Amino acid sequence: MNLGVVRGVIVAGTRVAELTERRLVLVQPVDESGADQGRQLVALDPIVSAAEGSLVWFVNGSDATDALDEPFQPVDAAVVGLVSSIREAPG
Amino acid sequence: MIIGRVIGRAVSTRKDEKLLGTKLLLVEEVDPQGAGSGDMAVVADHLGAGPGDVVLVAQGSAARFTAQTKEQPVDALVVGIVDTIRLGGRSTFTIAEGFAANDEGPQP
Repeated sequence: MNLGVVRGVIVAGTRVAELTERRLVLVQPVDESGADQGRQLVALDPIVSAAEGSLVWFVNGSDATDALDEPFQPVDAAVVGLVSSIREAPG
Repeated sequence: MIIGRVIGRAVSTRKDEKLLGTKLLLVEEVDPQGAGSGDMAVVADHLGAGPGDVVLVAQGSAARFTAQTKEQPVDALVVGIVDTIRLGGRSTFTIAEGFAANDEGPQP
């Protein structure tokens, strides 16, 4: 799983029939200090309805489809949780 | 998924017979402001996207999770045609007006 910040929202009305989840968000991957890591991507947001600016974690690849109520949607990234806090392990 | 701009069509007459009837597009990845990354991919399409359209592309095994692509050897699929992109409360793209920052509009 990866950390990311939600930067925006995408609407795509014309879509393949199997893609039933509505909410699509733009996610910027970040490291644990919040620094940008790599390119932004588009993820489904089926659970948390993350607002812009939210720190989330997301899965990508074939795992993403397991985050959905109806699996086997053509999805390669999904937001699976809102991050409340990050603590670094001591030592 | 990635955001991409359709820049052309790939035509193949000799191909895996499971791909017969599947349109293949040439797509360049773009950022949410519309700037091209230079990375291109050949992407299967069953939605009727055409040159200049901004699309969402699913990659990897997810590309096979539709009725049309179920048994096909594809690893990238157009799963949506983008209507709007909103970033920081501001619209960077609408299907009617294209990208706000990068005013190229639909390409021929």
